[in-house]
Order: sequence, then C-alpha cells, then structure tokens
Amino acid sequence: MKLKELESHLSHVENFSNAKEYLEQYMTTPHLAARMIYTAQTQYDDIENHLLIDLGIGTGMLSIASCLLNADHIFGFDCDIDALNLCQSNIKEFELESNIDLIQADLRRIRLPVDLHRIIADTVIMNPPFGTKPFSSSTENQDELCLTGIDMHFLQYARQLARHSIYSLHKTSTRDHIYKKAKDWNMNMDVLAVLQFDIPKLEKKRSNRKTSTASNAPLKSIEVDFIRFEIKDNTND
Amino acid sequence: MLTSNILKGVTRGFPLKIKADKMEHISVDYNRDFIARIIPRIEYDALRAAVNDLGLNESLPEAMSETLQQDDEFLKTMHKVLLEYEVEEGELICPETGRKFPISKGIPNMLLQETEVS
Repeated sequence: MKLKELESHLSHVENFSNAKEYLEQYMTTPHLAARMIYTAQTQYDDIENHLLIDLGIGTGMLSIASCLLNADHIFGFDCDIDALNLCQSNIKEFELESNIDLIQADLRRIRLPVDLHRIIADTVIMNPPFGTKPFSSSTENQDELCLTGIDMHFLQYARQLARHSIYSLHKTSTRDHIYKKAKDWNMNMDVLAVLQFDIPKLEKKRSNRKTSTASNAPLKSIEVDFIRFEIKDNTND
Repeated sequence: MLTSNILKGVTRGFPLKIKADKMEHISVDYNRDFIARIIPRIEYDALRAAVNDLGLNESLPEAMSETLQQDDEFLKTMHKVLLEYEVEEGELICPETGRKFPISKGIPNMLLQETEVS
C-alpha cells in the first residue's frame, strides 16, 4: 500500500468528541500516523507479520495504520474507558475486530512484574502523553511523575514489552535526557524526524480541568522527535 | 481469547483464571501462516487452562510438540480457540489473591484501586 493510500484510509478514523484535558488526549493525525507506520515498515520491516503493542491506544489510529500494513496482531492499552469505546468503534469500522485486542490499564499505577521471559511484542508503537502538565488526580507519587514525565514512564514499559523495537514521540527539548535513558536501558536510539506538533494548549491551573475539554482549546506548537529505539540485548533465556 | 492468554503472561506474572458470563462465537477467516507464526509465542499451558475454565468443547493435546505445530488439524483448532471465542462479559481472577478483574464488552479492566498500589 502506498503512503498516500494509507493516509487516505486513516482519514476515516473518528476523533475524540470530548477529549479529556487531564489525560492529555488528542488524536494522532492521519498524516503523522501514516508516516510513522509507513517508515517503520518500509525502512525497518517492523510492522508486517509482527506482534505489536500500542501503549495509550486512544482513537486506535496507530494500530489501525499498522493493521493496514499487515501487522499480525496488536494489543492496545489505555486507561480511559471512553477512549477504549471510541477505539472499539473505529476498529469495527475498519473490520479489524479479530486483529486488535483492547485492555484497560493505567500505566501510572501498574507495577509491571518485569519478567523478561514474557516479552511478547516484537514492536511497541506509541504516542504517549508528554506530561507537560501536572496531573490533577491525587496519586501519592504525583510529584515524582510530574518531574520524570509520564512519557518516560511509558517508555520504560515499552522497553520491558518490546523484543526488537519501539516507535515513539517525545518533546525535542527532552532529547538529551532520553539519550541517557536509552543508554541506561541498553537501547539504540535514532531520531527519525523532527516535527512541529500542535497540541491543545492546556493551562496548568484551572478549577474546571476535570470537566473541560481540549476540543476547543487554543493550539500550542511544540517541537517533537519521532524516535525509533532498538533493543540491543537479545538474550533468549 | 488471545488477550487473556497474553494478560496471563504479562500483567500478573502467573496465569489468571477466567470466567465467562457471556461468550461469543465469531467466524474469522483461517490464516494458516498467521497461526503458525503465533503459536510458538503462546503460553500453551495457560491457554489449555483457559479452555478448561471456560468449559469449551475443544480438545487440546497436553503438550505442543514441534510436529504438532505443523499439523493442520491442530492449527485449525488453535485458530478456533484463539480467535473465534470471545469473552464478552466475565472476569479474570487472580489465583493468589482472588482479586477479580471484570471483562466488559470484551475489554478486561485491569485498573487498580488506590489502596492496591503499594
């Protein structure tokens, strides 16, 4: 399938009608998703006939793109049931019910038992929240999460779940920090592209944050790296 | 069914038991190559346990040998079990704590309460 054709198919993925501000929800655009997955397949052969995991599946955009490029099967995780319902409806629209399975889980809360014997995905794909805003829900580790950035948390899980590679998006401003983490976690890191991202501009202090939606918020432009991580140690014990 | 097998492996580190209140039997095109590719990745014992928990009328041999992985009949059975049975409503149950994770509209809810996070 050609890139333009893929992008055209993805234009049928339905967007959030009431994106939740405190979860930093927004749809990965068909334009971006098509390019991410097309690159992952044509340059690295990481999609076709592979098992994938999508962390923070949201509307299902990245997973649907991957199925259109012949991924074997995908497990998608998201903490929000409304997102999962939207995702399910998008999956139905594309008739991919037997290709994508959904699980509701909160990556901020699960203590993943790190069992390397149970790595089951070849490739992890994700467009994680960037954590530019402090969370309003009260968790005991809230401060810690704000400091480290929720996207690093996602990346850490991705590292535990991926056998070969991870495709992710992170703020360009955090690139050095991520290089260090990648090194610590024994991964190669390649910045494949730098993009201008328009995400809804969400203010830190607003009393109605839990109920307000991002759909009508003014847009803010940030620089984002599209990164491919490759797992270096392939021990099979 | 594929999800529950994966979750058994990943989320808790040991198999979760599965209970179904509503199951669906759907028809999925058989793709031999896909099944052949995926079965080495399956936790076979956990899958057999799930088939047993759910009382499905499918017979899976005790062990999955190399020769069995080439056998057409076996592959077709695996296709049925992995893709054509869907737990729409039910529960995944931790064998150690008894903690129940509800399955609703085919989606398992693994969210933990504040008190459960140590």
